[in-house]
Parts: sequence; C-alpha cells; structure tokens
Amino acid sequence: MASHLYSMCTAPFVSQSDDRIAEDQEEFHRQWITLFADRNQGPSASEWALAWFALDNTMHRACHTSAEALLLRRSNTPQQEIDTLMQSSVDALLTDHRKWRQRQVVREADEMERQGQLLATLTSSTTTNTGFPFDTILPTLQQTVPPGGTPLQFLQYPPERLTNLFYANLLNHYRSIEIYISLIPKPMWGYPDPWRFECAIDLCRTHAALGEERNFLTTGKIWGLYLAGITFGGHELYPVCSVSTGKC
Amino acid sequence: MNLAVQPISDLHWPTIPSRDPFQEIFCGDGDDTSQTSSTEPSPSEASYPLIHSPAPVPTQDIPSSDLPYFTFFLEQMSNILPYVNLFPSAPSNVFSVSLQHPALRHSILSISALIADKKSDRGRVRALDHLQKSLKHLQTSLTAVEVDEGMAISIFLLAYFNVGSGEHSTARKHLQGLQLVLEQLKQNHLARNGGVPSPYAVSPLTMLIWRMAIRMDFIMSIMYGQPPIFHVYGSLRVPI
Repeated sequence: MASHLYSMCTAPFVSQSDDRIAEDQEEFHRQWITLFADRNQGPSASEWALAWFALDNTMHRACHTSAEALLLRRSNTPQQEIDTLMQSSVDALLTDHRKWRQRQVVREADEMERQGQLLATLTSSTTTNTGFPFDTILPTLQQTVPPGGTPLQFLQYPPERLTNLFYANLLNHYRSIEIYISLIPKPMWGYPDPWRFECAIDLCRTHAALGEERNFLTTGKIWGLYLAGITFGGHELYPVCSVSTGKC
Repeated sequence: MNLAVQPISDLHWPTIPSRDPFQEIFCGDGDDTSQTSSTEPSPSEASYPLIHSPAPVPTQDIPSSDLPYFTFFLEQMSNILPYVNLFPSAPSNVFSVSLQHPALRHSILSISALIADKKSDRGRVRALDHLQKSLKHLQTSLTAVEVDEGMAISIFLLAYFNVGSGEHSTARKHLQGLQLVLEQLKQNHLARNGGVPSPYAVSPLTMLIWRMAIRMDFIMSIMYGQPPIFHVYGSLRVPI
C-alpha cells in the first residue's frame, strides 16, 4: 500500500555533495534550530543540535558513499580506477568529518573533559567539588561517577573519567563514523590498522566509562560497539585474555 | 520506568491552543533566543501546558479505551525519538498538530499502541487498526493533492511504525513518500513566497521530523545494506 500511496508524487534523485553548500545550509537551518531548541539550556542547546546534526549528516553521506562503492565493485570498472575513486571519496569524507572536532562547542567540551580528567587524577582520593563552570556546556551537566568513585574500565586500558555524558555519546558517534568511513575502501573483518584500532579502543573506553547512564543514543551505541568488534577482528587478530583464568 | 498504559481517569490532557499550533514557532521573537541563562519556559513550551481537563480531541473515530495511548505518546516518546532532549517540546507540538489532523492522530495512536501494547503483551490489534485509518486518511489527502505538514509528520510516524515492526521495505517506501511530501511543501512555499527560500518554509517541528527521518534513513541503510533514500545533505537537492 505504501508504494501506491505516493504514486502521485515524483522527484529526481541526485546524491552529489558540496562542502560549501553544506556550510551554507547549516547557517540556513541554524535559524529554525535556534528558535525551536530548548531555551532553558541556553544557546548551547542549538549549538549541540547543530553538532549532532552535522555528525548525522556525515554518517548519512558515508552511507551514500558506501552504497556507491558497492555499485562500483559490482561494475566492470578496472580495479585501479575503483581504488582511486573510492580513496578520493573517503579522503574527502574524512577531511570534512574531522572538521567536527574544530567546532567551538566541541573544542570547549574537549577542554572541559581534559581538565576534568586532569583534576580527577590530582584529586582522586578526595571528594572536593571541582568548581568548574559546568553550566557553560549544558545540556551536559551530568557526571557519571560520584566524586571519589571509580569509573568502569575497558580491559587493561586506563579508565576515563567523563564530565559530560552528552558529549561522550556524541564523541563515540564521531568515532563510529570514523571507523565506518575507514572501512568503505576495504570492508574487511580483521584488517589490521593501528589508527582504527586506537579509535576502537577509545570508543570502548568511553563506553565503559559511560556506565549505566540514560541511553539516548541506543542505536548509535550498538553500532559503535559493532564497528569496534569489526576493528578488533576477532580472536585471531587481537586475542583478549580472561582475567580470571588467564586463558586467551 | 513504568510504561504501562494508564487508566483513563489518570489521563493528562493538553490545552488546545486557540490559534494555529505553528504560529508561535513562526512568529516567535528571535531576540528571545539570545537569552543565555533564562529559566523561563520557551514560548513553544508555554503554549502547550499539560493540565487535567476533558479530552479535547474529536473522538468520534477514537474509542475512549484508546485515549490512554495519547498519554503514552506525550509521556514516553521523548525517551524514544532522537533529539528530543534538545527539543523537548516536540512531542507535545506533534500532539497539538494532531488535534486538527485525523491522519496524524491515528499515526500517533498506532505507534503508541504498537509500543505500549507490546510492553503489556496486548497484541497489535489496536496498532494495526489505527495504522489502517491513518493510511486511509493519507490516501484521501494525497489523491486530492492536499499536502500539509501534518501529513509529513504522520508519514514519518508510519515509517517509524514499520521500522518497529521489522517491515523495512515498507518503511523505506514511507521515507520516499516523506521526501516527496517535503519537496512539495517546499515548492508550495516558494510559490507563495515569490520564489524566495526561507528557513521557515516549513515549521521547525517539521524540520525536526525531517532530521529524525534522515537519522532513520541511515540507520536502515546500515541495517539492511541499501542506499539511503534521502539526498545527501550538502547537495543542491535537499528536500527542505
């Protein structure tokens, strides 16, 4: 019934993208976002909305690129040409994607996390309030671990002490997208890549530190962990030893 | 968190805005957004306070036993739909639009019934009944080429229904339909506005629904290994 429902409508399909147009469109959309976002959280709500939308835009674009890559592989195009085309698309995607970390709201949140981690290290045995101006980065005023508590840890990797759960979730979304894009040219399980491995480790460290917080990125979390699993490549590539038995 | 449907006597009903539910959104004072530390409710929130009052919706086509699904929608969709933590008034705004939009009303009831009844093992009878009614209303409107924002929101909820039911093929068709409806809304606005594009061509609520649809689009693309339906953001042909 659904296909019949829309038979009255027609529209062409074009999937090209342009960074400049995307930036223009963001400014265009900023207006309704500012108007509609939660004003109780101040201007940061609209900035975070824009940041979240930007990540989702990249993910959406990566899915288009991935689908085009699949079509290319199934075509009669010479392999060398396929590799060149794919690498070009992926490089452009990654370049745009990494600009996300330069957004002001993200840089501020990064700095808060860095300071929070530093202070947690310095005052790990005390329960002193850090006195940070947390309200400057709402909607993120949520601490995962009570002062003096210990965050959950991923394997033997250093635990992360998160200041801002909202940002931590977005950052893992960012890492998931990075891993996903990197898999487009070589969508292979267990293909060794030190940089991707590090990204997957960071994702899991953050996931462990998130603990049992309210799960507003459910699908994203599942997807991120799945991609981390792909990166680790199973027992053959990165065996994990059981702490209790010592067996790998 | 208790997700069971509440008895009718416990229902909370929103007041009906005496004007177009989109008016506040279109006509809000942009300067208000520069207040960085305000704790006052936003105009959009203030427009739709929840109070105890008799059911305001035309209920001729809705049995009273189904009314708690509205409460479920208002109370639980903020935990289900993305972005609502940043746009908390969205579910109540969708509800407000549905007061004048039968297709959307039944879409709300169908998705709420699907989720609420699944949690309480009550089957899918109510959900499918409202789905059918919503589709019927949409078909009538589309045949008459009467495209509006309530229709766009309604289609999104139907797509969500299908995703929740594991019917991804149907969900994709609804997303295609949604893209066409959004394109039509944009064209209608351009025709009214002398060809000048505006970020207010459609309401912020519908823009947010469009964003939710993009998210649904890439999630389905990943899950089912198919190209996304919506155009790439940053292309010259985004729907709005």
